Amino acid sequence: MKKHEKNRNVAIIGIGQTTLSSHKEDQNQVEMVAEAVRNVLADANMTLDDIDCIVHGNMELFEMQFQPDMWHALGCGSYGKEEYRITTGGTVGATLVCASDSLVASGQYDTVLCLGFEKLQEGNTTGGITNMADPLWFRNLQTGALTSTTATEMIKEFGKDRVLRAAMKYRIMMDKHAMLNERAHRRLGLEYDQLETLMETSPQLVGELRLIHMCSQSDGACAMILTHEDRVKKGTAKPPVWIRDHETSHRGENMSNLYGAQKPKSTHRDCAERLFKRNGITNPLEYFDVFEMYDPSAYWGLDWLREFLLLKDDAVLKLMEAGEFDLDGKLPVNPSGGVIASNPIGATAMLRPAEAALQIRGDAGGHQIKKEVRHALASGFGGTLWTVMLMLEKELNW
Amino acid sequence: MILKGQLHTHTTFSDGALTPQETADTYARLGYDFIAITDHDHLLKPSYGDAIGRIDTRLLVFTGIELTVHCRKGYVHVSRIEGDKEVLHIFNHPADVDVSLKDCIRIIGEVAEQYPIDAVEITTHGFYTPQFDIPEIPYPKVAADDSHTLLGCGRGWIELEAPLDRDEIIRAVKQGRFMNCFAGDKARRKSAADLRLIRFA
Repeated sequence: MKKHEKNRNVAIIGIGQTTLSSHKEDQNQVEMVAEAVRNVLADANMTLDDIDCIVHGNMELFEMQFQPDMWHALGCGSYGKEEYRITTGGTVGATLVCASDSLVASGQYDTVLCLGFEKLQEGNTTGGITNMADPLWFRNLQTGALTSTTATEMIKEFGKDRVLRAAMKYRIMMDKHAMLNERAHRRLGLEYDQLETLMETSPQLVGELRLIHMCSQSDGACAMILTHEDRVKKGTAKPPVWIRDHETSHRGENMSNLYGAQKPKSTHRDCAERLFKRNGITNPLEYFDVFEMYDPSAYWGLDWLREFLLLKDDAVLKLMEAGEFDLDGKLPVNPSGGVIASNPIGATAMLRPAEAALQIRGDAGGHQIKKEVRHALASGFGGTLWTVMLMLEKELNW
Repeated sequence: MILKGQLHTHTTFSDGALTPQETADTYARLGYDFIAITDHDHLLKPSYGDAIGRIDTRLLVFTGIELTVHCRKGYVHVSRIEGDKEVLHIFNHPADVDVSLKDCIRIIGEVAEQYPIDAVEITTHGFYTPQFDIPEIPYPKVAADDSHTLLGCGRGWIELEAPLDRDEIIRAVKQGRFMNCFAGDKARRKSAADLRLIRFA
């Protein structure tokens, strides 16, 4: 078998989410994951008896909870079942889907339920991130996503006014999408005519990065059920969404090692180039009908679109300015409202393929894209520059 | 008269989930006598003041705003609540500043150079934070909800003896003539008679 060729095709046949909120004081972790599991089983019209394995993941210790999968056994239904636990940083949710896909594709399990969650109100995430130290690489301090480096670089490249306006337009666009998504956490009701005011009044965090640009801290869980082609042929409650391929680009160095004389290729571009080449996609902007992207801040959202879509020069700004990433644009981006609206870290990167799959099914509710979605792209990202991309398809025809 | 009041709420005019009318209705159902609507300055939508003025309720409603105040920590929040003549400034949720107690006290002092701080919250999202309920913070300590949703309403509030008058209420808060109350906390939830004892002790 060729590298990356699947032993058997795999489809998403169930999607379950909780609402996403800054606090869920009416639920503990077990109850929260149980809600997502109940929802995914109902969506797939299955019971736990149909599930062969559960893949569980979050950022362990963000809630100061050691081995949370042990505590959650009853909530996620893993008691007496095979189980894996995965932690890969911000991208853990996407890794859960990739791992589950591989477990089914390999033939090890027929039907897998993967579950990502985070209940950030119960811990000190920022404290955890900022105290990460790495003596090997002389790293004493981490700021997580709280960096203005990308803003500074883009301003140097394209000019301050244009970049600041594009970033705020991106932020308002995400809020407009979130307002249509009843599960989203931060739904502020921003309008484009507030753009100038928000550029002035939102508190500065660092450099040009303002509070309004940043992702939220949320509680929530997401679950998906994956199964193989032969099982799908027997019938599914909802239309299957096929996982065509996925790719991960992980660089072990940290940021301080990356800025030498020449900035190296980003893990996003590296990941996208390999994924698209393997699948014969020469123009992702034309091929994909929707892109649900992990976007921790408005500046990263802009910059990462450029990297993922392999755009050159100021093409990303032109597309943004022309509204081509809106729900009715050429390539709608983050119809869910994205990470800026909702960020329960262990679930965040799973919410991306979950949203992409809902769009393919035509099941996204108020934020469903008007045109038919046949090809969807989703991405995840986490600490130590770990990028994951997934390609989802409506039809099994590649 | 014994009044039950809430000094920290958010609505759809910034990042809250309830409209000003829904917020007032919720607190009216919970038996409150007055509320202050204190939406974030940096997210404020136009016609905020008009919307508060249009609320149809039996409650006494204060117009307020939660100010984003820059300091060496970065930024902190201070509510400014408008009476008819009086103005009340409350340093909000010090636990959320996320620094040591010693540094937090320094930051409160730093902010007090910009605003006449009249009180300091001893709650975060309505939950009691006793580490700030100490004499080293030399201001009256108030309990409040900082509510953003229906679930966030009715956790921490103040009760005081005063006429139902904005300036009288603000003066009572500034002078510390009130009692903090918390949902489900019977030990701290005193009766009206106890409140009078405290008031005149």
